[in-house]
Amino acid sequence: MRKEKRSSLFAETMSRIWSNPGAKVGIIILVIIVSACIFAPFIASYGLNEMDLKNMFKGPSAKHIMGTDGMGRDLFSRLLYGGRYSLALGICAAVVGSVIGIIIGSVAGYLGGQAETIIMRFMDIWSSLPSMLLCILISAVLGAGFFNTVLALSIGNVPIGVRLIRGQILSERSKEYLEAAESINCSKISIMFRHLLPNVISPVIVDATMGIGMTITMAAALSYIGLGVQPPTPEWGAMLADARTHILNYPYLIMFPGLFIALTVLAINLIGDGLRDAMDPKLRK
Amino acid sequence: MNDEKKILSVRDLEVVYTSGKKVVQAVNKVSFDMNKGETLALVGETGAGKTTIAKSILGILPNPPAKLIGGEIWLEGEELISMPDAKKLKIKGEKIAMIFQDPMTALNPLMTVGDQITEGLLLHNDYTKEEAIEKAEEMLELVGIPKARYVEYPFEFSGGMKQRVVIAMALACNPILLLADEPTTALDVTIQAQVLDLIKTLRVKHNTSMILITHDLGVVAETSDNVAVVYAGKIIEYATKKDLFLSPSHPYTIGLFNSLPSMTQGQKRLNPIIGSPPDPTCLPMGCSFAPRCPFVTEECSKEEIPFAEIAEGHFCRCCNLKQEEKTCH
Repeated sequence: MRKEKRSSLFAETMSRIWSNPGAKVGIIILVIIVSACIFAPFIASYGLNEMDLKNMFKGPSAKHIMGTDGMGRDLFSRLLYGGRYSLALGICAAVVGSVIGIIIGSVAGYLGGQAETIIMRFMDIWSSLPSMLLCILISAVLGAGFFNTVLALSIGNVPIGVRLIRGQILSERSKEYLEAAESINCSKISIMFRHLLPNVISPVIVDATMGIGMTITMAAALSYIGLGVQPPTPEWGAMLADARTHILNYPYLIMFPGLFIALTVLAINLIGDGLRDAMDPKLRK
Repeated sequence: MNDEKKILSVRDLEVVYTSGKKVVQAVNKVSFDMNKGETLALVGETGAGKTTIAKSILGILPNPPAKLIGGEIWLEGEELISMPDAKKLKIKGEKIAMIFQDPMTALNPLMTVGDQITEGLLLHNDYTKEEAIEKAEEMLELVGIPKARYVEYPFEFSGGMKQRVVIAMALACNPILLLADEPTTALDVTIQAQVLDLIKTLRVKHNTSMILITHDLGVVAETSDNVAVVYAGKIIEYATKKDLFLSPSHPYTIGLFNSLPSMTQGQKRLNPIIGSPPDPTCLPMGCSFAPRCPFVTEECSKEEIPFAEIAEGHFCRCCNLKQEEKTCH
């Protein structure tokens, strides 16, 4: 019985998301895209870099449902494989960025005083640099590649997370249950992570979810200018970049990757919206 | 000697709050003693320093802005302020526990109430998890909550029930001193009576001493043995409950009683004490109540007023009490 009750808060949130029509559509779209990407080898009828030079620039047909690109590679197959990179990039970068943000933000919010001032002013400087510029800078310095791209993309998410969590902590810090925890002699670490963090984390989760969508677009943009994942790796943004020279002659080459990016980001944003409503403590009884 | 019975002794406690360049004198040389099993009520208006006194005893003053600048706190013959932190850990929550003012915020909204009680038990005892859970369930039953509700979250409880949980948390480790910071202020009158009864019963059962912070003289009448009236960070009158209610001596205490609505006389308006408490950043010389006192004389603002014993066990900080009153024992 105890076990059942424990999961109820989580289960309740989930059921509330599911009852939100927008979020439901988002979840369905995302599940389809994600599972298609995961099971790409079973779904795609062609290999990742399988070239068919006789069939270059073929429009959508029964054989190649989304057509082929300039090297005769099946676009649909490449999109599915490419989704693995795009999604992984988006999720990793959003999670890494938020986790770093949460840690710095909780330290700033909980310690207060001088430490807080220094951290927050530093964050102000950090966020005053356009995040795209930072990304380009980091990618250019560290070089392209999956992990460097994750790093570059997550950097931009850090100050947002820091600000959110600090603001939340400031409003939560004066609550008596923290004093109560202190009065029974909980350690500072325990108060911070066991009592304070779970109570302030929901906006950050929502923000990180929304951030996945934004990060996927950013990743696409980075790849587009040649700093992200390198060809022939079929990342969605990189595919867009490949196709840009053919934009007038073969518009489907740019349409389909664009469509995938747009659909995924839309789905994630819908879920994020649903999540925000579901986690809003004011809606909880 | 009644030193054996004495469990808490506060000497010249001084606490200031600093905010920028302003220094707020929250507690000014407060001293009092408590015997085992006794209830002391700290009465006074908002901002008088009652809660600060309690938090200093427990050692949870928020620093900054609060700073303990002087005084001694003796608990069972041990001095708390100079005690090393490691040793103090055994005292916080185990020997001294606190009941907080607002049950709505005193519980972590994302932990089940049972877990919150268990947490304290695990920190201070060598219980295994199962034993602690069992004990926590016992505590819930003790405060009148069915133990099946161990797994519920605070939002599933009403205000009065939450306060019961808070009481269960405070009493879980059988503290010798309980600090109750306006435990009933956030509750309505019927629930208030229930909660007070509950505290009283449990306290008597475990022979726990209690400092009750309140501004409700009705609550004082119901629960306490001794009363200390706090004004601008000072204790201005200290007496047994009976003495204080029968012969309030300090003009401020008299004012407090006069401002209560009367059941018998058909009053149209209340008689408040005129004015408001002094600015704690610059307290007046001498008696800090002087600016509002109807009996004020020149002598009042000259020097620090001594805390004189005007009757056996009845102390008052006022220089205008008649001389014979001061000396007659």
